[in-house]
Amino acid sequence: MNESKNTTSYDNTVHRLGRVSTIIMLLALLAVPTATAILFNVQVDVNKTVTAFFGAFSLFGVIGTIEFFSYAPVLGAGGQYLSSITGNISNMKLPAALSGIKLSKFEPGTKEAEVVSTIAIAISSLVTTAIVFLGMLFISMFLPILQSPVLAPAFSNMMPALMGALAVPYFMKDFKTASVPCLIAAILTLVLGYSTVAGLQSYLMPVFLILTVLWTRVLFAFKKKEPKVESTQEQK
Amino acid sequence: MENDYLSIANSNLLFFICLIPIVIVIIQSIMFLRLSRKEAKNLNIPDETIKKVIANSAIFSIVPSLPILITLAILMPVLGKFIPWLRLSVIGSAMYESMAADMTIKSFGLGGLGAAELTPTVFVGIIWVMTLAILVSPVLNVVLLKSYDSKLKSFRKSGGFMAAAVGSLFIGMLAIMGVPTLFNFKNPVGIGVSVISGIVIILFDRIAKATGNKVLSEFSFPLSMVIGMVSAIFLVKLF
Repeated sequence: MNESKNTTSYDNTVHRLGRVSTIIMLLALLAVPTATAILFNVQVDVNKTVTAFFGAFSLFGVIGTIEFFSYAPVLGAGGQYLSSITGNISNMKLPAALSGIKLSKFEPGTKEAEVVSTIAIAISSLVTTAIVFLGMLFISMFLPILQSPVLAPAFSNMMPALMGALAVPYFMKDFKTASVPCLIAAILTLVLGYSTVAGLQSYLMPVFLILTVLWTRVLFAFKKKEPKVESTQEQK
Repeated sequence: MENDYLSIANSNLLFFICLIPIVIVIIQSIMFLRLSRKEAKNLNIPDETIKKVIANSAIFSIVPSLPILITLAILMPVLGKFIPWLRLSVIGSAMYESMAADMTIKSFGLGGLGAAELTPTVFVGIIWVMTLAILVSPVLNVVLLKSYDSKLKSFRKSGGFMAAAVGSLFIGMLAIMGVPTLFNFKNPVGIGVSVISGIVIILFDRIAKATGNKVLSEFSFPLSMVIGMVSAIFLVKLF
């Protein structure tokens, strides 16, 4: 009941499209190993495959669950459906969405920002699909460039470059909100070391989301105590 | 017959099997794009803004796609052309696909990614593991996203603190993703790159604002990122 109050017809269409297309995609993906085994008459070693599956699932299943809850509020529903199917969220879809939101000058979390985020992610998905396809066809042409020793430092430092360009404008725009999460991230890295924090990043993400919410609560309380020039009364 | 898995892996038939999910992902992206553009019109978002977002996202996405090609090149000699193409186009990331393949090969008692003499059975095992182990997030989307999204929207609608909290979540995400890089003293080049790209984007944004330069305004993010990456080529000589 509550759902219909908070969703618009656009939201309902997004969820319908997202659910149907995801189910179709899941079936198509499951058809790949099934069809390969059947059409090429390959015997499946169920025991060894299941053992390997549990090994991989114990790691990526947990990460997938955490990422589901962490990314959805930032990417919006449409962006979340698309990103989960196309992957490369932290290094491509999330930056594409946040960069699009910044460019459009809408506030993150608004309806407009959600629409912009979905558009940016859809375009990013199409571009990546095209590049990977071209890469598959012409990899021998690309490889000498991609693996050249001169360019190697540039590619191995892509994430620091991406994060600097993405995070700094947002931190500067909302310095108060960013201050405590950034400070705690810095202390944590100094205490535990970079490699430990980087390895735990997926698990730390929800912790930092909760931390940010708590810090926003503190800031909100301070704001309320300030002398009221403008009324900030909440509608009940 | 045991070692002819590469003839399966590079066969035309497997190409068509892999093509189906890739076509679906393209259709899905186009449908979401059309739906969102229509909604943008309903919300009176100027078409110019949407075009800027599209151009920015397209240009930006080229650079992070390039390292994916390196993973493609690593996986292709082991898994043939088409499975790495599918896996790196749909759901997977470079790290996940490499790890899933490596774990499966090892569970079959072989040496791991690259060193193994695979059989068709191991090959199909790898495809199964790569496919199944990462489906959690899409499955949760089907089952939970609608109600989770509705809850988030009710927080936003309620205004006050909860609306501010939902709107600020991405800052927490950027803090844990971005700040640790600045304290990775084993990679001083990375620290320099992060600082340079951060300074460059601020400069670009200010210049764009002062001069009204549209190109700088629209592409400040991908440009700053590329300048940061290029600076690594020079910084590596200093450290």
